[in-house]
Amino acid sequence: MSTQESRLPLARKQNLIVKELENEVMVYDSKRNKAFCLNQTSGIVWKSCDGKTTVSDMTRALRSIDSSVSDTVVWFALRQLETDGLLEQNVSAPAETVGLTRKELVMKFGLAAAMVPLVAVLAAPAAAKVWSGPPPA
Amino acid sequence: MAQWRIWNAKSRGSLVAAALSQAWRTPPPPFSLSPPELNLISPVLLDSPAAALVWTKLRNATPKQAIAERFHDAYRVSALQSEIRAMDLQQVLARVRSVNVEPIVHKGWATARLYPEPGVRAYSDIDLLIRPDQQELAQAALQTPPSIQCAVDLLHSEITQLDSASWEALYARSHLVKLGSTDIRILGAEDHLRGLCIHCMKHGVASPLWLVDVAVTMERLPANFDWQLCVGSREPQANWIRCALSLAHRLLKAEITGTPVGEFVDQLPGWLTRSVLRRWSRPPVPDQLPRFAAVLKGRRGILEALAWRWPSAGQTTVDANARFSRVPNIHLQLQSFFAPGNLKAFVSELPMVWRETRKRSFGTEKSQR
Repeated sequence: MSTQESRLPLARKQNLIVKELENEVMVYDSKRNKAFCLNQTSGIVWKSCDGKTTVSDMTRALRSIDSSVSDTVVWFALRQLETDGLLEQNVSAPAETVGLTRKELVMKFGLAAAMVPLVAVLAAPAAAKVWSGPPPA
Repeated sequence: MAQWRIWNAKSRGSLVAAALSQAWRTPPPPFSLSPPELNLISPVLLDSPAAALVWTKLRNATPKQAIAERFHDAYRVSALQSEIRAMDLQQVLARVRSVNVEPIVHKGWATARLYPEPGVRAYSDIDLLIRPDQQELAQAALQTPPSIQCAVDLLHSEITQLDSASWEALYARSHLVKLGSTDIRILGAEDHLRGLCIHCMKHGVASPLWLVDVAVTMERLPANFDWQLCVGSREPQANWIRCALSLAHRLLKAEITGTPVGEFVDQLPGWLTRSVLRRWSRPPVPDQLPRFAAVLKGRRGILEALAWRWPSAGQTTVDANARFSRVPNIHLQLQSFFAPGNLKAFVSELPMVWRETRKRSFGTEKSQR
């Protein structure tokens, strides 16, 4: 196997609880007690990270939703996922994607705002107050 | 709604009821509150587990309200929480069953599964009914390392003390349902609804979500549901159950066609409905009540501290094993408020209250010089 193939993105599975909602993927990292909300683009990229799918394959999959998606968008998503600890190993992103912002993706690359990859941090469910007990006497 | 009415507690409680009304339906009815009305009650709703359910109505509302995204976040967290709790439940059952104890899962997951989207019904702990002579064995199994990551509640007075059914009868009517590959034992439909109603009234319907549970369960009954078995004839429990069912219809518009609930609704005391709405207009009571002296920030702090400490009308009625009648039970509330334990705690705070008051008066005098 070539070096490039062996470094194909691989999603983390250990200590993660995943819940798919409509066009979003919720991920709870029980090891770090952090919860994330992946939008549609990030969710598709993350779910494609099986160690066998290339960035080009991911781009082709996203182009069925929005034809303006390019490899840059996928690398942007991968960098976000890597930063949030949702990938098994670091990805070797091309130099031109380093430091790219969401605004630049929209302005320079003409990407629809809704398609910009987003990995939002939520209040972790363990910390979120879910009151089901009796009120104090 | 006129401004003066919005500031009325009963009206605010009515807004909470309107926000949750029929939210469990597929599809839910349109969201009927205006942006100012939603903004008014959002602190109460967002601080409660009902926020996720409100999102099921809000997500289709147009135009989108700015605060809606916070309810969306609550929905996301609730969905994740449900997934986590489902895994915890399987782990807890395996642990308890490893010592040959067969539990019945009560409330929580057993109720959430009836919602069209189980993820909207969050629950923080796992409620298990255990045969009385196996309680200690189950407790020991749950406390054996490695520790269980969620709270497990084995004490349910709405079943063990306030209900009339024996463990043997409850178990005989229970049945198994699937969660993935795990068999989960849950109560029979009649026992489940009865337990929810008594639990709800026992706590004075303090949480709107508990009444939604009653409404959802009422609309998901099997065809052969035995109302006589559910409501029973033992008083005052039958009265509590009728009141809970009636409240679910009156406040949340739960469907009652084809049920005997229509006969009860007209007997629902008006003061009870108003008491519940007033309760819903306030955020949940804090787990740890701050000391009286600590909330002396003027008249508002005193009123708030008193409201927290004032016993709920519903709760005092159930505690006194009394019926809900047309006559308000203010005497029971006064009795509870001035109970020796409460009085002792209040009297013990008086020196601090006095010091705090003096400090504030001296502070006022100093600033006036």
